[in-house]
Amino acid sequence: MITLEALTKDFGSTRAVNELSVDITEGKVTGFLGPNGAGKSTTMRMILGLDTPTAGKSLINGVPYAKLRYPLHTVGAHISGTAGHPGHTPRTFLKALAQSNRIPVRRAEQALAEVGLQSVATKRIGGFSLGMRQRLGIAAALLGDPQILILDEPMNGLDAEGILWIRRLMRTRADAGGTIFVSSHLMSEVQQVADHLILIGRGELITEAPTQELIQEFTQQLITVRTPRAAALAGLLAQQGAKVSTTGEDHLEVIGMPLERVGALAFAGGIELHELSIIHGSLENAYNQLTHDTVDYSAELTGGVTTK
Amino acid sequence: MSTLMINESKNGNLAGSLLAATRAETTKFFGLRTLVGLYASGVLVTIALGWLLGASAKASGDNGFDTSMPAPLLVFATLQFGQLFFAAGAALHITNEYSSGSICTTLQSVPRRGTMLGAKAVLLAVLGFLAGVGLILVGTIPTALSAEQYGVFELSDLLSAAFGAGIYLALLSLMVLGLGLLCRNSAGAIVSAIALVGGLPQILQIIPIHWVQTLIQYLPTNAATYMATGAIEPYGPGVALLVLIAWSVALLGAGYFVLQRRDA
Repeated sequence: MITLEALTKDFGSTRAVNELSVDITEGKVTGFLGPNGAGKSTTMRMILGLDTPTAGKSLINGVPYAKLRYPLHTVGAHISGTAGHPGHTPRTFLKALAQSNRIPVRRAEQALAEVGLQSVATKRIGGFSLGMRQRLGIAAALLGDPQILILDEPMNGLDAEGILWIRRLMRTRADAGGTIFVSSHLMSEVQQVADHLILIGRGELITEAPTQELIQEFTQQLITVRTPRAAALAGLLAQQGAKVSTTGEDHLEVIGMPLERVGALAFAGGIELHELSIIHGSLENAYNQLTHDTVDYSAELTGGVTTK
Repeated sequence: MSTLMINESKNGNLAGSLLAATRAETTKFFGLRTLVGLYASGVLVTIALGWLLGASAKASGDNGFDTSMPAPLLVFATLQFGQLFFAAGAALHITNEYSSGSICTTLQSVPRRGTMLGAKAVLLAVLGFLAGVGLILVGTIPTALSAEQYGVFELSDLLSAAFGAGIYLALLSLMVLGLGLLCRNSAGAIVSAIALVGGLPQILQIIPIHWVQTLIQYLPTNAATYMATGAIEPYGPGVALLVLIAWSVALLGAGYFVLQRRDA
Protein backbone atom coordinates (compact mmCIF):
# COMPACT_ATOMS: atom_id res chain seq x y z
CA MET A 1 0.00 0.00 0.00
CA ILE A 2 1.25 3.44 -0.97
CA THR A 3 -0.19 6.39 0.92
CA LEU A 4 0.10 9.97 -0.22
CA GLU A 5 -0.88 12.57 2.35
CA ALA A 6 -1.26 16.11 1.02
CA LEU A 7 1.93 15.53 -0.96
CA THR A 8 3.23 18.83 -2.29
CA LYS A 9 6.31 19.82 -4.26
CA ASP A 10 7.49 23.26 -5.32
CA PHE A 11 10.30 23.86 -7.78
CA GLY A 12 11.16 27.47 -7.11
CA SER A 13 7.92 29.36 -7.55
CA THR A 14 6.28 26.60 -9.60
CA ARG A 15 4.03 24.17 -7.77
CA ALA A 16 4.57 20.81 -9.45
CA VAL A 17 2.40 18.73 -7.14
CA ASN A 18 -0.32 20.26 -4.99
CA GLU A 19 -1.66 18.51 -1.89
CA LEU A 20 -2.10 15.16 -3.52
CA SER A 21 -3.80 12.65 -1.22
CA VAL A 22 -4.53 9.15 -2.45
CA ASP A 23 -4.15 5.54 -1.35
CA ILE A 24 -2.80 3.04 -3.84
CA THR A 25 -3.96 -0.30 -2.60
CA GLU A 26 -2.95 -3.92 -3.11
CA GLY A 27 -4.44 -6.43 -5.49
CA LYS A 28 -4.96 -3.79 -8.14
CA VAL A 29 -3.35 -2.08 -11.06
CA THR A 30 -3.68 1.63 -10.42
CA GLY A 31 -3.22 3.85 -13.45
CA PHE A 32 -1.75 7.29 -12.87
CA LEU A 33 -2.76 9.55 -15.71
CA GLY A 34 -2.08 13.10 -16.65
CA PRO A 35 -0.71 15.19 -19.50
CA ASN A 36 3.01 15.89 -19.83
CA GLY A 37 4.18 18.02 -16.94
CA ALA A 38 1.20 17.15 -14.75
CA GLY A 39 3.51 16.02 -11.93
CA LYS A 40 3.38 12.23 -12.39
CA SER A 41 7.12 11.66 -12.38
CA THR A 42 7.69 14.12 -9.57
CA THR A 43 5.09 12.29 -7.49
CA MET A 44 6.76 8.95 -8.18
CA ARG A 45 10.19 10.40 -7.37
CA MET A 46 8.87 11.62 -4.03
CA ILE A 47 7.40 8.19 -3.28
CA LEU A 48 10.86 6.73 -3.93
CA GLY A 49 12.63 9.27 -1.73
CA LEU A 50 14.52 10.77 -4.67
CA ASP A 51 12.88 14.18 -4.29
CA THR A 52 11.97 15.63 -0.91
CA PRO A 53 8.39 16.90 -0.64
CA THR A 54 7.89 20.58 0.15
CA ALA A 55 5.00 19.51 2.36
CA GLY A 56 2.98 16.41 3.09
CA LYS A 57 4.32 12.89 2.95
CA SER A 58 4.40 9.62 1.13
CA LEU A 59 4.47 6.27 2.87
CA ILE A 60 5.15 2.71 1.79
CA ASN A 61 3.18 0.35 4.04
CA GLY A 62 3.17 3.15 6.59
CA VAL A 63 6.90 3.93 6.44
CA PRO A 64 8.79 6.57 4.45
CA TYR A 65 10.76 4.96 1.60
CA ALA A 66 14.06 6.29 2.92
CA LYS A 67 13.59 4.23 6.09
CA LEU A 68 13.65 0.96 4.16
CA ARG A 69 17.05 -0.66 4.54
CA TYR A 70 16.79 -3.07 1.61
CA PRO A 71 13.92 -1.50 -0.31
CA LEU A 72 14.13 -3.66 -3.43
CA HIS A 73 12.47 -6.51 -1.52
CA THR A 74 9.44 -4.30 -0.92
CA VAL A 75 9.28 -1.86 -3.83
CA GLY A 76 10.45 -2.32 -7.38
CA ALA A 77 10.48 0.83 -9.44
CA HIS A 78 11.44 2.03 -12.84
CA ILE A 79 11.72 5.74 -13.57
CA SER A 80 12.16 6.31 -17.31
CA GLY A 81 15.65 6.94 -18.55
CA THR A 82 17.47 5.89 -15.42
CA ALA A 83 18.25 2.23 -15.97
CA GLY A 84 21.98 1.92 -15.60
CA HIS A 85 25.09 3.60 -16.91
CA PRO A 86 25.63 3.36 -20.70
CA GLY A 87 29.03 1.77 -20.12
CA HIS A 88 27.67 -1.05 -17.98
CA THR A 89 26.24 -4.32 -19.21
CA PRO A 90 22.80 -5.42 -18.00
CA ARG A 91 24.50 -8.18 -16.05
CA THR A 92 26.78 -5.75 -14.16
CA PHE A 93 23.94 -3.34 -13.57
CA LEU A 94 21.61 -5.98 -12.11
CA LYS A 95 24.38 -7.72 -10.19
CA ALA A 96 25.27 -4.46 -8.41
CA LEU A 97 21.61 -3.84 -7.60
CA ALA A 98 21.24 -7.36 -6.24
CA GLN A 99 24.36 -7.03 -4.10
CA SER A 100 23.23 -3.71 -2.63
CA ASN A 101 20.05 -5.35 -1.31
CA ARG A 102 21.42 -8.77 -0.44
CA ILE A 103 19.46 -10.43 -3.21
CA PRO A 104 21.08 -13.64 -4.52
CA VAL A 105 23.08 -12.67 -7.60
CA ARG A 106 21.47 -15.45 -9.67
CA ARG A 107 18.26 -13.41 -9.54
CA ALA A 108 19.95 -11.06 -12.02
CA GLU A 109 19.97 -13.80 -14.65
CA GLN A 110 16.37 -14.76 -13.87
CA ALA A 111 15.21 -11.16 -14.14
CA LEU A 112 17.00 -10.79 -17.48
CA ALA A 113 15.20 -13.91 -18.70
CA GLU A 114 11.86 -12.59 -17.43
CA VAL A 115 12.18 -9.49 -19.60
CA GLY A 116 13.75 -11.27 -22.56
CA LEU A 117 17.21 -9.70 -22.45
CA GLN A 118 19.37 -12.78 -21.82
CA SER A 119 20.88 -12.60 -25.27
CA VAL A 120 22.27 -9.11 -24.65
CA ALA A 121 23.34 -9.70 -21.04
CA THR A 122 26.95 -8.82 -21.83
CA LYS A 123 26.33 -5.98 -24.30
CA ARG A 124 26.73 -2.42 -23.14
CA ILE A 125 23.54 -0.60 -22.19
CA GLY A 126 24.61 2.46 -24.19
CA GLY A 127 23.76 0.66 -27.43
CA PHE A 128 20.25 -0.29 -26.34
CA SER A 129 17.05 0.96 -27.91
CA LEU A 130 14.50 2.75 -25.76
CA GLY A 131 12.41 -0.43 -25.62
CA MET A 132 15.37 -2.49 -24.43
CA ARG A 133 16.18 0.06 -21.77
CA GLN A 134 12.57 -0.05 -20.61
CA ARG A 135 12.79 -3.83 -20.35
CA LEU A 136 16.02 -3.52 -18.40
CA GLY A 137 14.42 -1.03 -16.03
CA ILE A 138 11.56 -3.44 -15.50
CA ALA A 139 14.04 -6.26 -14.86
CA ALA A 140 15.58 -4.06 -12.16
CA ALA A 141 12.15 -3.43 -10.68
CA LEU A 142 11.39 -7.17 -10.58
CA LEU A 143 14.79 -8.11 -9.14
CA GLY A 144 13.77 -8.31 -5.48
CA ASP A 145 10.38 -9.87 -6.27
CA PRO A 146 8.66 -6.91 -4.56
CA GLN A 147 5.00 -6.69 -3.59
CA ILE A 148 4.84 -3.09 -4.85
CA LEU A 149 5.72 -2.09 -8.41
CA ILE A 150 6.06 1.55 -9.41
CA LEU A 151 6.46 2.02 -13.16
CA ASP A 152 6.84 5.41 -14.79
CA GLU A 153 5.59 5.32 -18.38
CA PRO A 154 6.76 1.73 -18.87
CA MET A 155 5.14 1.40 -22.28
CA ASN A 156 7.16 4.21 -23.86
CA GLY A 157 9.25 2.76 -26.63
CA LEU A 158 7.81 -0.74 -26.33
CA ASP A 159 6.52 -2.50 -29.40
CA ALA A 160 3.03 -4.05 -29.57
CA GLU A 161 4.30 -7.36 -28.23
CA GLY A 162 6.12 -5.53 -25.44
CA ILE A 163 2.99 -3.63 -24.45
CA LEU A 164 0.99 -6.86 -24.27
CA TRP A 165 3.76 -8.40 -22.21
CA ILE A 166 3.91 -5.55 -19.69
CA ARG A 167 0.11 -5.54 -19.39
CA ARG A 168 0.12 -9.26 -18.65
CA LEU A 169 2.92 -8.83 -16.16
CA MET A 170 1.04 -6.11 -14.27
CA ARG A 171 -2.19 -8.12 -14.35
CA THR A 172 -0.53 -11.28 -13.04
CA ARG A 173 1.21 -9.50 -10.20
CA ALA A 174 -1.89 -7.54 -9.19
CA ASP A 175 -3.97 -10.73 -9.20
CA ALA A 176 -1.37 -12.29 -6.93
CA GLY A 177 -1.98 -9.46 -4.44
CA GLY A 178 0.59 -6.98 -5.68
CA THR A 179 0.26 -3.22 -5.65
CA ILE A 180 0.91 -1.90 -9.14
CA PHE A 181 1.21 1.83 -9.71
CA VAL A 182 1.73 2.72 -13.34
CA SER A 183 1.86 6.15 -14.92
CA SER A 184 1.03 7.12 -18.45
CA HIS A 185 -0.02 10.17 -20.38
CA LEU A 186 -2.21 8.09 -22.69
CA MET A 187 -5.54 6.72 -21.53
CA SER A 188 -5.45 4.03 -24.19
CA GLU A 189 -2.28 2.55 -22.67
CA VAL A 190 -3.70 1.89 -19.25
CA GLN A 191 -7.48 1.76 -19.74
CA GLN A 192 -7.40 -1.96 -20.52
CA VAL A 193 -5.24 -3.03 -17.62
CA ALA A 194 -5.93 -0.57 -14.80
CA ASP A 195 -8.53 -1.45 -12.18
CA HIS A 196 -8.40 2.00 -10.74
CA LEU A 197 -7.51 5.34 -12.26
CA ILE A 198 -6.04 8.46 -10.72
CA LEU A 199 -6.17 11.49 -13.00
CA ILE A 200 -4.04 14.53 -12.32
CA GLY A 201 -3.47 17.80 -14.11
CA ARG A 202 -1.11 20.62 -13.11
CA GLY A 203 -0.18 18.67 -10.00
CA GLU A 204 -3.73 18.43 -8.73
CA LEU A 205 -6.06 15.51 -8.43
CA ILE A 206 -8.79 15.72 -11.08
CA THR A 207 -10.59 12.55 -10.18
CA GLU A 208 -9.96 9.03 -8.99
CA ALA A 209 -12.30 6.12 -9.33
CA PRO A 210 -12.48 2.49 -10.41
CA THR A 211 -11.95 2.28 -14.16
CA GLN A 212 -15.39 0.71 -14.71
CA GLU A 213 -17.09 3.56 -12.91
CA LEU A 214 -15.30 6.13 -15.01
CA ILE A 215 -16.16 4.26 -18.17
CA GLN A 216 -19.85 4.13 -17.26
CA GLU A 217 -19.87 7.75 -16.34
CA PHE A 218 -18.24 8.89 -19.53
CA THR A 219 -19.41 6.45 -22.17
CA GLN A 220 -23.05 7.41 -22.54
CA GLN A 221 -24.24 7.17 -26.08
CA LEU A 222 -24.61 10.43 -27.89
CA ILE A 223 -27.03 10.64 -30.80
CA THR A 224 -26.65 13.31 -33.43
CA VAL A 225 -29.56 14.30 -35.61
CA ARG A 226 -29.66 16.58 -38.67
CA THR A 227 -33.05 17.84 -39.70
CA PRO A 228 -34.46 21.01 -41.28
CA ARG A 229 -37.05 21.11 -38.47
CA ALA A 230 -34.63 20.97 -35.58
CA ALA A 231 -36.67 23.06 -33.17
CA ALA A 232 -39.80 20.96 -33.63
CA LEU A 233 -37.95 17.68 -33.16
CA ALA A 234 -36.12 19.03 -30.11
CA GLY A 235 -39.44 19.85 -28.48
CA LEU A 236 -40.83 16.42 -29.29
CA LEU A 237 -37.81 14.56 -27.90
CA ALA A 238 -37.65 16.70 -24.79
CA GLN A 239 -41.30 15.91 -24.07
CA GLN A 240 -40.39 12.23 -24.08
CA GLY A 241 -37.62 12.77 -21.55
CA ALA A 242 -34.47 12.98 -23.67
CA LYS A 243 -31.72 15.53 -23.00
CA VAL A 244 -31.44 17.57 -26.16
CA SER A 245 -29.00 20.27 -27.09
CA THR A 246 -29.01 22.32 -30.27
CA THR A 247 -25.58 22.44 -31.74
CA GLY A 248 -26.30 24.16 -35.03
CA GLU A 249 -29.10 25.49 -37.15
CA ASP A 250 -30.22 22.00 -38.14
CA HIS A 251 -28.18 19.91 -35.66
CA LEU A 252 -29.26 18.26 -32.43
CA GLU A 253 -27.43 16.16 -29.90
CA VAL A 254 -29.52 13.74 -27.90
CA ILE A 255 -28.63 11.86 -24.74
CA GLY A 256 -30.69 9.38 -22.76
CA MET A 257 -32.80 7.83 -25.52
CA PRO A 258 -32.16 4.88 -27.81
CA LEU A 259 -31.47 5.59 -31.48
CA GLU A 260 -34.53 3.65 -32.65
CA ARG A 261 -36.87 5.68 -30.46
CA VAL A 262 -35.52 8.97 -31.83
CA GLY A 263 -36.19 7.68 -35.36
CA ALA A 264 -39.69 6.46 -34.45
CA LEU A 265 -40.65 9.75 -32.82
CA ALA A 266 -39.44 11.73 -35.83
CA PHE A 267 -41.37 9.43 -38.17
CA ALA A 268 -44.52 9.69 -36.08
CA GLY A 269 -44.19 13.49 -36.01
CA GLY A 270 -43.68 13.59 -39.76
CA ILE A 271 -40.29 15.24 -39.40
CA GLU A 272 -37.82 14.76 -42.24
CA LEU A 273 -34.36 13.54 -41.14
CA HIS A 274 -31.10 14.03 -43.00
CA GLU A 275 -28.95 12.24 -40.51
CA LEU A 276 -29.42 10.03 -37.50
CA SER A 277 -26.27 8.60 -36.01
CA ILE A 278 -24.74 7.44 -32.78
CA ILE A 279 -21.39 8.20 -31.19
CA HIS A 280 -20.09 5.91 -28.51
CA GLY A 281 -18.37 8.02 -25.89
CA SER A 282 -14.94 6.79 -24.95
CA LEU A 283 -12.92 7.12 -21.83
CA GLU A 284 -10.21 8.55 -24.03
CA ASN A 285 -12.47 11.45 -25.01
CA ALA A 286 -13.55 11.97 -21.46
CA TYR A 287 -9.93 12.01 -20.34
CA ASN A 288 -9.00 14.48 -23.03
CA GLN A 289 -11.86 16.73 -21.98
CA LEU A 290 -11.01 16.45 -18.31
CA THR A 291 -7.39 17.26 -18.78
CA HIS A 292 -7.79 19.75 -21.59
CA ASP A 293 -7.78 22.76 -19.32
CA THR A 294 -4.74 21.56 -17.47
CA VAL A 295 -2.42 20.94 -20.37
CA ASP A 296 0.64 23.09 -19.86
CA TYR A 297 2.26 22.53 -23.20
CA SER A 298 -0.02 22.33 -26.18
CA ALA A 299 0.87 22.67 -29.81
CA GLU A 300 -1.20 24.90 -32.03
CA LEU A 301 -2.41 23.22 -35.17
CA THR A 302 -0.11 25.50 -37.12
CA GLY A 303 2.79 23.79 -35.47
CA GLY A 304 4.01 26.31 -32.96
CA VAL A 305 4.23 25.32 -29.34
CA THR A 306 2.59 27.63 -26.87
CA THR A 307 2.89 27.66 -23.15
CA LYS A 308 -0.24 28.77 -21.40
CA MET B 1 33.64 9.07 8.24
CA SER B 2 32.09 9.15 11.68
CA THR B 3 29.97 12.19 10.86
CA LEU B 4 28.25 10.19 8.16
CA MET B 5 27.22 7.47 10.52
CA ILE B 6 25.89 9.33 13.52
CA ASN B 7 22.27 9.58 12.50
CA GLU B 8 22.19 5.95 11.48
CA SER B 9 23.94 4.40 14.43
CA LYS B 10 20.69 3.56 16.15
CA ASN B 11 20.10 0.90 13.55
CA GLY B 12 22.18 -2.14 14.38
CA ASN B 13 22.27 -3.32 10.80
CA LEU B 14 24.37 -0.48 9.45
CA ALA B 15 27.57 -2.45 8.95
CA GLY B 16 25.69 -5.06 6.92
CA SER B 17 24.02 -2.59 4.62
CA LEU B 18 27.25 -0.61 4.22
CA LEU B 19 29.05 -3.79 3.23
CA ALA B 20 26.30 -4.72 0.78
CA ALA B 21 26.34 -1.23 -0.75
CA THR B 22 30.14 -1.29 -0.98
CA ARG B 23 29.97 -4.59 -2.87
CA ALA B 24 27.56 -3.02 -5.31
CA GLU B 25 29.82 0.00 -5.77
CA THR B 26 32.77 -2.31 -6.41
CA THR B 27 30.83 -4.16 -9.09
CA LYS B 28 29.84 -0.87 -10.72
CA PHE B 29 33.41 0.47 -10.60
CA PHE B 30 34.99 -2.58 -12.22
CA GLY B 31 32.16 -2.75 -14.74
CA LEU B 32 33.25 0.51 -16.33
CA ARG B 33 36.26 0.43 -18.63
CA THR B 34 36.81 4.18 -18.23
CA LEU B 35 37.35 3.93 -14.50
CA VAL B 36 39.51 0.83 -14.58
CA GLY B 37 41.45 2.38 -17.46
CA LEU B 38 42.08 5.62 -15.57
CA TYR B 39 43.39 3.83 -12.50
CA ALA B 40 45.55 1.50 -14.59
CA SER B 41 46.91 4.47 -16.56
CA GLY B 42 47.69 6.26 -13.31
CA VAL B 43 49.75 3.33 -12.09
CA LEU B 44 51.55 2.82 -15.42
CA VAL B 45 52.28 6.50 -15.98
CA THR B 46 53.66 6.87 -12.47
CA ILE B 47 55.92 3.86 -12.87
CA ALA B 48 57.16 5.00 -16.29
CA LEU B 49 57.83 8.54 -15.08
CA GLY B 50 59.64 7.16 -12.04
CA TRP B 51 61.96 5.24 -14.32
CA LEU B 52 62.55 8.42 -16.40
CA LEU B 53 63.16 10.50 -13.29
CA GLY B 54 65.66 7.87 -12.12
CA ALA B 55 67.49 8.04 -15.45
CA SER B 56 67.49 11.83 -15.23
CA ALA B 57 68.87 11.72 -11.67
CA LYS B 58 71.67 9.47 -12.88
CA ALA B 59 72.45 11.70 -15.88
CA SER B 60 72.55 14.78 -13.65
CA GLY B 61 74.62 12.99 -11.07
CA ASP B 62 77.09 11.78 -13.68
CA ASN B 63 77.47 15.39 -14.79
CA GLY B 64 78.25 16.54 -11.30
CA PHE B 65 74.85 17.83 -10.20
CA ASP B 66 73.70 16.08 -7.08
CA THR B 67 70.03 15.26 -7.61
CA SER B 68 70.15 11.90 -5.87
CA MET B 69 67.03 10.88 -3.99
CA PRO B 70 65.90 7.53 -2.63
CA ALA B 71 64.23 5.68 -5.52
CA PRO B 72 60.82 5.28 -3.77
CA LEU B 73 60.68 9.05 -3.32
CA LEU B 74 61.53 9.58 -6.98
CA VAL B 75 58.46 7.48 -7.79
CA PHE B 76 56.42 9.43 -5.27
CA ALA B 77 57.49 12.70 -6.91
CA THR B 78 55.92 11.60 -10.19
CA LEU B 79 52.54 11.36 -8.45
CA GLN B 80 52.42 15.10 -8.88
CA PHE B 81 51.24 14.22 -12.36
CA GLY B 82 49.98 10.68 -11.86
CA GLN B 83 47.51 11.70 -9.15
CA LEU B 84 45.38 13.38 -11.81
CA PHE B 85 44.35 9.99 -13.19
CA PHE B 86 43.13 8.83 -9.79
CA ALA B 87 41.42 12.13 -9.13
CA ALA B 88 39.61 11.91 -12.47
CA GLY B 89 38.60 8.29 -11.78
CA ALA B 90 37.26 9.11 -8.32
CA ALA B 91 35.36 12.11 -9.69
CA LEU B 92 33.81 10.09 -12.51
CA HIS B 93 32.70 7.34 -10.14
CA ILE B 94 30.15 9.75 -8.70
CA THR B 95 29.51 12.26 -11.53
CA ASN B 96 28.85 9.43 -14.00
CA GLU B 97 25.83 8.56 -11.92
CA TYR B 98 24.41 12.03 -12.24
CA SER B 99 25.10 12.39 -15.96
CA SER B 100 23.54 9.01 -16.80
CA GLY B 101 20.63 9.29 -14.38
CA SER B 102 21.67 6.03 -12.73
CA ILE B 103 21.92 7.90 -9.42
CA CYS B 104 18.14 7.36 -9.24
CA THR B 105 18.53 3.59 -9.34
CA THR B 106 21.43 3.79 -6.89
CA LEU B 107 19.40 5.80 -4.37
CA GLN B 108 16.35 3.60 -4.91
CA SER B 109 18.39 0.59 -3.89
CA VAL B 110 20.24 2.39 -1.09
CA PRO B 111 17.90 5.20 -0.02
CA ARG B 112 19.93 6.14 3.04
CA ARG B 113 22.22 8.66 1.49
CA GLY B 114 24.84 8.37 4.20
CA THR B 115 25.13 4.64 3.50
CA MET B 116 25.32 5.25 -0.26
CA LEU B 117 28.08 7.83 0.19
CA GLY B 118 29.84 5.69 2.79
CA ALA B 119 29.97 2.79 0.33
CA LYS B 120 31.49 4.96 -2.39
CA ALA B 121 33.95 6.45 0.10
CA VAL B 122 35.08 3.04 1.37
CA LEU B 123 35.57 1.72 -2.16
CA LEU B 124 37.48 4.77 -3.44
CA ALA B 125 39.64 5.01 -0.30
CA VAL B 126 40.59 1.33 -0.49
CA LEU B 127 41.32 1.55 -4.22
CA GLY B 128 43.36 4.73 -3.72
CA PHE B 129 45.34 3.14 -0.91
CA LEU B 130 46.07 -0.04 -2.87
CA ALA B 131 47.03 1.93 -5.97
CA GLY B 132 49.35 4.21 -3.98
CA VAL B 133 51.12 1.40 -2.12
CA GLY B 134 51.27 -0.76 -5.24
CA LEU B 135 52.70 1.85 -7.56
CA ILE B 136 55.50 2.74 -5.10
CA LEU B 137 56.40 -0.90 -4.43
CA VAL B 138 56.42 -1.84 -8.11
CA GLY B 139 57.73 1.47 -9.47
CA THR B 140 60.72 1.50 -7.15
CA ILE B 141 62.31 -1.41 -9.04
CA PRO B 142 62.72 0.21 -12.49
CA THR B 143 63.47 3.57 -10.87
CA ALA B 144 66.20 2.10 -8.67
CA LEU B 145 67.67 0.40 -11.73
CA SER B 146 67.70 3.55 -13.84
CA ALA B 147 68.97 5.85 -11.07
CA GLU B 148 71.70 3.39 -10.01
CA GLN B 149 73.77 4.86 -7.17
CA TYR B 150 71.80 8.12 -7.23
CA GLY B 151 68.64 6.35 -6.11
CA VAL B 152 69.98 4.30 -3.21
CA PHE B 153 67.36 3.86 -0.53
CA GLU B 154 66.65 2.27 2.83
CA LEU B 155 63.69 0.08 3.70
CA SER B 156 62.32 2.96 5.77
CA ASP B 157 62.28 5.17 2.66
CA LEU B 158 60.32 2.54 0.80
CA LEU B 159 57.75 2.06 3.56
CA SER B 160 57.34 5.77 4.18
CA ALA B 161 56.83 6.48 0.46
CA ALA B 162 54.48 3.53 -0.01
CA PHE B 163 52.26 4.34 2.96
CA GLY B 164 52.49 8.03 2.16
CA ALA B 165 51.31 7.46 -1.41
CA GLY B 166 48.61 5.02 -0.27
CA ILE B 167 47.20 7.29 2.40
CA TYR B 168 47.44 10.33 0.15
CA LEU B 169 45.60 8.72 -2.78
CA ALA B 170 42.97 7.32 -0.39
CA LEU B 171 42.32 10.73 1.14
CA LEU B 172 42.57 12.53 -2.21
CA SER B 173 39.83 10.21 -3.51
CA LEU B 174 37.59 11.27 -0.64
CA MET B 175 38.27 14.96 -1.32
CA VAL B 176 37.41 14.48 -4.98
CA LEU B 177 34.29 12.46 -4.09
CA GLY B 178 33.19 15.50 -2.10
CA LEU B 179 33.93 17.79 -5.05
CA GLY B 180 31.97 15.44 -7.32
CA LEU B 181 28.91 15.73 -5.09
CA LEU B 182 29.24 19.50 -4.99
CA CYS B 183 29.56 19.84 -8.79
CA ARG B 184 27.53 16.83 -9.94
CA ASN B 185 29.03 17.08 -13.41
CA SER B 186 32.24 15.48 -14.60
CA ALA B 187 33.88 18.54 -16.11
CA GLY B 188 33.32 20.66 -13.02
CA ALA B 189 34.50 17.98 -10.64
CA ILE B 190 37.65 17.15 -12.60
CA VAL B 191 38.60 20.78 -13.18
CA SER B 192 38.14 21.63 -9.52
CA ALA B 193 40.16 18.56 -8.52
CA ILE B 194 42.99 19.60 -10.85
CA ALA B 195 42.79 23.13 -9.47
CA LEU B 196 43.09 21.80 -5.92
CA VAL B 197 46.14 19.60 -6.49
CA GLY B 198 47.81 21.29 -9.47
CA GLY B 199 46.62 24.77 -10.28
CA LEU B 200 46.23 26.27 -6.83
CA PRO B 201 49.78 25.56 -5.58
CA GLN B 202 51.26 27.08 -8.74
CA ILE B 203 49.08 30.18 -8.88
CA LEU B 204 49.53 30.92 -5.19
CA GLN B 205 53.29 30.55 -5.48
CA ILE B 206 53.55 33.76 -7.46
CA ILE B 207 51.80 35.78 -4.77
CA PRO B 208 54.60 37.05 -2.53
CA ILE B 209 52.51 37.51 0.59
CA HIS B 210 53.67 35.73 3.71
CA TRP B 211 50.39 34.14 4.75
CA VAL B 212 49.72 32.96 1.20
CA GLN B 213 53.09 31.23 1.16
CA THR B 214 52.22 29.64 4.51
CA LEU B 215 48.86 28.55 3.13
CA ILE B 216 50.59 26.79 0.23
CA GLN B 217 52.36 24.57 2.74
CA TYR B 218 48.99 23.30 3.88
CA LEU B 219 47.63 22.41 0.45
CA PRO B 220 47.05 18.64 0.01
CA THR B 221 49.94 17.98 -2.40
CA ASN B 222 52.50 19.63 -0.14
CA ALA B 223 51.15 17.96 2.97
CA ALA B 224 51.39 14.65 1.11
CA THR B 225 55.04 15.30 0.25
CA TYR B 226 55.91 16.14 3.87
CA MET B 227 54.15 12.96 4.95
CA ALA B 228 55.86 10.66 2.45
CA THR B 229 59.35 12.15 2.80
CA GLY B 230 59.26 12.24 6.57
CA ALA B 231 59.88 15.98 6.57
CA ILE B 232 60.76 17.98 9.68
CA GLU B 233 60.21 21.49 8.27
CA PRO B 234 57.68 23.11 8.06
CA TYR B 235 55.91 20.24 9.81
CA GLY B 236 56.29 16.51 10.23
CA PRO B 237 54.39 13.49 8.86
CA GLY B 238 51.97 13.39 11.79
CA VAL B 239 50.77 16.94 11.23
CA ALA B 240 50.77 16.31 7.48
CA LEU B 241 48.39 13.39 7.97
CA LEU B 242 46.10 15.58 10.06
CA VAL B 243 46.16 18.28 7.38
CA LEU B 244 45.12 15.74 4.73
CA ILE B 245 42.39 14.34 6.95
CA ALA B 246 41.11 17.86 7.57
CA TRP B 247 40.88 18.48 3.81
CA SER B 248 39.01 15.20 3.30
CA VAL B 249 36.56 15.81 6.12
CA ALA B 250 35.89 19.34 4.90
CA LEU B 251 35.27 18.45 1.25
CA LEU B 252 33.50 15.14 1.81
CA GLY B 253 31.46 16.74 4.58
CA ALA B 254 30.38 19.54 2.26
CA GLY B 255 29.48 16.95 -0.38
CA TYR B 256 27.45 14.97 2.15
CA PHE B 257 25.65 18.12 3.26
CA VAL B 258 24.61 18.84 -0.32
CA LEU B 259 23.69 15.20 -0.98
CA GLN B 260 21.32 15.17 1.99
CA ARG B 261 19.59 18.35 1.03
CA ARG B 262 19.24 18.30 -2.72
CA ASP B 263 16.86 16.23 -4.80
CA ALA B 264 18.55 13.36 -6.58
